[in-house]
Amino acid sequence: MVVPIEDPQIVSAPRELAQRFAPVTFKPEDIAAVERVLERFKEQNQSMIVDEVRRLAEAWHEAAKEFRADLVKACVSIAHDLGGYGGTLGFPMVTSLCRSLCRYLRLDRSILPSACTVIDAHVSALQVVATQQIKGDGGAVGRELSAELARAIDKFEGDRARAVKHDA
Amino acid sequence: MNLALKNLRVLVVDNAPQMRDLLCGLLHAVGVGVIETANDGGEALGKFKTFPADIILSDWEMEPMTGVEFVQAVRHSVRSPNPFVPIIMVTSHAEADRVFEARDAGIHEYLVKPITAQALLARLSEVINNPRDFMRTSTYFGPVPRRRADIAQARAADLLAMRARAARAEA
Repeated sequence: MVVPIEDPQIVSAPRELAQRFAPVTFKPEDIAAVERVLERFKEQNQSMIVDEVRRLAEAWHEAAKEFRADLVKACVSIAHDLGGYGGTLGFPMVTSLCRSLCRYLRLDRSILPSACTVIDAHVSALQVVATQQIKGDGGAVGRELSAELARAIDKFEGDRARAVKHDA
Repeated sequence: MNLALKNLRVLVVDNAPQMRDLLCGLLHAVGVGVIETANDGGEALGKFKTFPADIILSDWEMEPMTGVEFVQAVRHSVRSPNPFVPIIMVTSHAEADRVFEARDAGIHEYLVKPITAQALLARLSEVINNPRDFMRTSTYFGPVPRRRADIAQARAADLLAMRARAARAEA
């Protein structure tokens, strides 16, 4: 069957915002002012990473007992927000670890118990980053953490692929 | 401080108070003078009825109403005070399917956390300096996707040329 392609209707949008403010240009001093606010935010919230990683570890400890949906959801929420703060506070590894962690926390409840090891590995890596205040790419420690996590992920994904193949 | 933006009204929607404060601080730093905040999409919808925001910055993961649900309500609700308002989604979701989902809901711009000065200011200047027409289909109402923007401009130029030809013919 051939599905007809719908012709979109173009609607003229109001130009009031552009009329009032355009052209707006941000000068180097504007960028510098924004960067100063970001720096101040970093200075004022240094303990946030440690606190939030601790909260995540406690939440996961509870959630891993019976994988109740609400508890797992709370872990996703903490990890998601922590990922947003991480890079802003100068901890890009926290952002990448949390992004990866959220993928596993969002797995179906039937698979989640088998992902415990890989989730634990993420939480452990986050604890190391937070307690040792590993900023940037983390240098040698960062590489070691990433390699260790990659091994846990490879093992989990390999086991999962084999289980799917076996079921098929 | 950029005095040109002192009358710009921005609604900041984020469930995390620190992130809300940070976004407000960043906007103040570039001279945005009028900022309102909301904790989730539902509260933002309520505030938007009395606060005529020129631009909305919205997080995605919020409860009970998410950022995407909020965008859909702004674009589609008959009670929406301004379905055309530029919306910038500020989120930790970096996956392509999330970007497409937000685009399909009708956002103007997508900003992945962590926030940087350049990325934020680029999104702000884009929505102010380059207004986009809207497109309506049976499943979508929102800004014309960028590639479509070219099509719309071309169509508008054709229309103007046709009208000019008709006017010349009548004269």
